[in-house]
Amino acid sequence: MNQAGHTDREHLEVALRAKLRMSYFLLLLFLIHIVEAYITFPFVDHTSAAQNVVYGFIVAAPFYTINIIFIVVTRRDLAAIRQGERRT
Amino acid sequence: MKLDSWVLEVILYLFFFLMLREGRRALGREQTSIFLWGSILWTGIIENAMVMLGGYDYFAYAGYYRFGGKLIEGYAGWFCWVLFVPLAICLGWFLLSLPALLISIRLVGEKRSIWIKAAFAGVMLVSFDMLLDPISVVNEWWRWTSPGFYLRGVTLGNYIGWFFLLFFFGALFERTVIQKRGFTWLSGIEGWVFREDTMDLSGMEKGRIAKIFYFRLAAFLPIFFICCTLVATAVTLTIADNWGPFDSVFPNEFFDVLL
Repeated sequence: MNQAGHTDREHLEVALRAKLRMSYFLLLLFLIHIVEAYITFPFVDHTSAAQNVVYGFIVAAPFYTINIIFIVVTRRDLAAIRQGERRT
Repeated sequence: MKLDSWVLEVILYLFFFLMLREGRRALGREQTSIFLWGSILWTGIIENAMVMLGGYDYFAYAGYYRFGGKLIEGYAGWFCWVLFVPLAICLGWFLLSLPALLISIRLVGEKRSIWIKAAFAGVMLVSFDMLLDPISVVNEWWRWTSPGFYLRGVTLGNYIGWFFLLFFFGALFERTVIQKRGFTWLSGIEGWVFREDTMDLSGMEKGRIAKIFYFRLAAFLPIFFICCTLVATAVTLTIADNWGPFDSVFPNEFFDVLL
């Protein structure tokens, strides 16, 4: 393995890790808003805060589903990079 | 339980710094800075225009800020403003749209059309906003005052706007800053403004790329407003045409002065 290839791999790993952390932060932000939805007043046309939470999970489904898929894919990529490092 | 606007502000500022740090690691310092200043310009102009046109307003600005049943005089409700829009709102858009765009580029694939990736990121952003906005309405952080189809106190036009915000911004950012390429229909005007070929930006210094990106944002601004107006009007006319639940405080005074 040459030095340039090793450095490229390092850069890729740093970038992937950063993107993975961003994705975790997005999920955390979503959970914070779910908690907010639970502790605050019922939304317009809602009668309880529990309804807020159910509504939140339904409407934000694309958001957290895409996030989770991204986390799975990125973790797999990172594992492949680490495996490649071990081989070299 | 009433959640005050400072709660949202603290969350948004905290996550802004976290996303900025990670963005610099993922994209590099220069590209993240271009994204940040671009998003402040883009959302700052569009949000202020919408407030002045009477689409919505930020409760606290209207002098309604209340805590424990008492009016809090002299407290604007938000820590820092970009004209009539809280800075936290612009930074909040940045902290959501940067990872959404990076995620969509990774999942949709780098070789796919920039418009498909931007649309994917836009859907992701709207999905999150559909949870955030009803919370903001019941906590009186901001409110909608325009006619339209209302869902949990929020106009459908707002979600259409959120989609197009990232749709255009994301596509322009990827084409200009990541791919370092241009748009054929804009190249003539850009050639006249920048005195060089803007179809290929590789090898160009970062400051120059940033200027071209901001120029392209300005060029796409009318297209953004036309798309939003057409889709939102079509939805309003076909589904519902209800007046907003509140009178717009700031724009009415603004138009009174004009008239």
